[in-house]
Amino acid sequence: MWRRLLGLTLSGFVLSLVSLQCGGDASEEVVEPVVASSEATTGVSMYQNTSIDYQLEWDWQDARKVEGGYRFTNDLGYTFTINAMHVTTGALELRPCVVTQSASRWSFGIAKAFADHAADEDSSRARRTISEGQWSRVTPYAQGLSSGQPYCQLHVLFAPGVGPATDGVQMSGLSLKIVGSYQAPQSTEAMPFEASINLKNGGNNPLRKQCNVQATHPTVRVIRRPQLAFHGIQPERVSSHEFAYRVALQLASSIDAIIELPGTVACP
Amino acid sequence: MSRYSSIARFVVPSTMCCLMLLSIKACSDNNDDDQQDPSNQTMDMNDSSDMSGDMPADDMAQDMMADNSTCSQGWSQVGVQGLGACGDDAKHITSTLMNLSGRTILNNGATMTPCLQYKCDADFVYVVSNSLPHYDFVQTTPNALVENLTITKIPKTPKVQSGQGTAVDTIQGCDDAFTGYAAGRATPQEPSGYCAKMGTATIEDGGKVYQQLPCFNTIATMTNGVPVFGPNEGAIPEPYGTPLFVMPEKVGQGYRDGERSVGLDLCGGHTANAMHYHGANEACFELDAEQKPVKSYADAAQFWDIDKLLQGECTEPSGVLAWSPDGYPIKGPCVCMTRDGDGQCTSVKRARSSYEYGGLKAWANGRDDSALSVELKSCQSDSDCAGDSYFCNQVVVGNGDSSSIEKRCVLHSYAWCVHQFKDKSSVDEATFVHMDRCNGIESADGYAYHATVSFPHMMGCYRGEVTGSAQTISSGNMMMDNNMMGNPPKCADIGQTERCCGDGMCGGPEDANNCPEDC
Repeated sequence: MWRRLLGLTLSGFVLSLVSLQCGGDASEEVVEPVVASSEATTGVSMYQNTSIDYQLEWDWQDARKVEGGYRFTNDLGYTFTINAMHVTTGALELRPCVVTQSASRWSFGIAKAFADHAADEDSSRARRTISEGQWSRVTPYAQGLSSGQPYCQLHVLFAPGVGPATDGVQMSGLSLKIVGSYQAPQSTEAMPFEASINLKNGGNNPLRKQCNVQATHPTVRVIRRPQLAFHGIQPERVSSHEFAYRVALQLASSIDAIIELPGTVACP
Repeated sequence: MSRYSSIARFVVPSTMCCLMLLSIKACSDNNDDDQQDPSNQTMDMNDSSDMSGDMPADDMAQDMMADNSTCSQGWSQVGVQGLGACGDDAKHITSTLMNLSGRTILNNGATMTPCLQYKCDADFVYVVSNSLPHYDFVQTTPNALVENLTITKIPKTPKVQSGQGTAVDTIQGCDDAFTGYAAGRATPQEPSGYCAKMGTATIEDGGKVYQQLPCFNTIATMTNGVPVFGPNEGAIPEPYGTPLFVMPEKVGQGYRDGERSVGLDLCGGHTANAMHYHGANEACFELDAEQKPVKSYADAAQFWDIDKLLQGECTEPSGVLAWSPDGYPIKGPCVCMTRDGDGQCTSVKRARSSYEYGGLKAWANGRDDSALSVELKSCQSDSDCAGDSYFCNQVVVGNGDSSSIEKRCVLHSYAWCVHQFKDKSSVDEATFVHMDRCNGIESADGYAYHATVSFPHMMGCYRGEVTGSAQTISSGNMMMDNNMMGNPPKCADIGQTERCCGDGMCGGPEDANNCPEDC
């Protein structure tokens, strides 16, 4: 408990300092019962301890629905037909905007007060190990609580499964499993594959908001876009594990993360 | 309710002060280092041919071209004149360093370029790295992967420690850990006395002298250029705990801490403010003839099996995984014990740590140890070990004159206290060989440390004189040179909130003189 309190205290304090020093305004007037503020520059804020629902979704975007699956072509010209795709989600967490970690080695930002080697968890973190496939269009996941600070990202963690998926496919020990075939450019032969990976991996994704007048409390839609996860992959050049792992990595970091806020007051 | 709430009370006020200073810095001064002199890029280009003895010249040139800023800029920070080509006298080191030319990795969908370059003077090999792993980043925690420029200075010829040190029997710091645990509070700093909180410290045991590892930050450097940290974590979540205790037993299993985000990737590394390793899965560091990594992360991770890593059969000697700043290599767990006249290894044994898990209760000294009643109990799963501070792990335990591997309930806290070194150098075993206090051994190939999945994972101390160093020269973690420790950096100056003066914790190089605000 004290870790959470420490994290909340520090994060809130950092936020207020950022605002004071940088001219931002983290103390905007509360205009709505749930949503405290939602300026684009400061992310999405909710009152502390506001309940947040997470739900898992799939979006096949431009993929063609074909018999028994979906078909699409990646950026290297490989055509994939996916007959089954299952993924195990281990945790979801909204990430506060104050984390200014940068890929630039020369950039000093305000580093969040990471607790030694562990990051302070945000209260929005929801843990549940659930495996589901692409046919499960919407799967309720779990709930978290707002820490009261603005959120800018969603962290998605895939982890090895602990049993069968919601449709009964065995996912014990697997974080991702795909079954299908691929056709290389200039090839007329479809090569079947079945690939799986048993590793934990995750990614941060930008968080965008939408208003939903029918919603009673905030809901984060975690929309996986499988065809984006196959970019740059040439299946015949990597091992089965590597193939599945790269798909998992890209799947975790190409998520369309939408937080739906109740009402319209705070939504521009 | 955690028994360590006292830490939070201790840390919060000081950290807030530190954060206030940091926030001011962030708004006014977030690109100081952009102005660093990039002139050394041309020096690197000229040096490309210099390194051709160890790496294909075209590859190295490609590396230099691709890496037009990160490692190249590092050379201007070394502060040593006259660096140039590395000759045959350094080949035993340079031939083990990873060739990262042309390699990019994925980090949350973005591409990053790990780099590693080296140069030499008469006595040392200097390695510059941006501390990025050679494989796609495994974002298992919300901590981001960032570049962190480091310089490692490795002596070409190691020298065994000499002189005097504190008698190891007189070190009793774990008494405090026991007392604190029994009272439900954590010690405010690493208590054991077995690692160095500041500067250098030597200990004496059985007529031999060793230098202690620093309690925090860099102790060595992996062959991919990323720092190695010691065998203990920081103050929280479990004070100064054993890093590998939270790891899954096998690939495909969950982490023991329920995704609490202190776990390592299955190569042995993780990010705090920057990437570092506490242990090593040697499959991740296997190199081909061009010194490029053989296996992807996904393939190498399949070798993660603690039981096999602890007691599987060794069929061939392990390669070098890392270099210590005393000039000795850290190799994988398979040790070549003898070689024939043709140089063929005729006996390979698995390295076994001589640090037994004796538990914190070993420090009870007759006091009430009921708070530790679960500790050391035989178990099959974590559920057999009540309490969130315990895991059911395979550990090395004493077995007469020798040792055995058993599943016991182990305390996650106080890595240096729950493990106790027992010299078994005279015990001859058929399939494994006990390491010395530093987790090394004099084998058919000379002295080397050996990575063991059990504590101390990589090294337990320095067997040689630490004339080299590992140093961070820009943002990120404070990775101090053991010989150039000096005053600890101010948190407000270096843009971090811990392991620095102003973080509310008196540890590492801090003392009442150089950091009164913390001590």
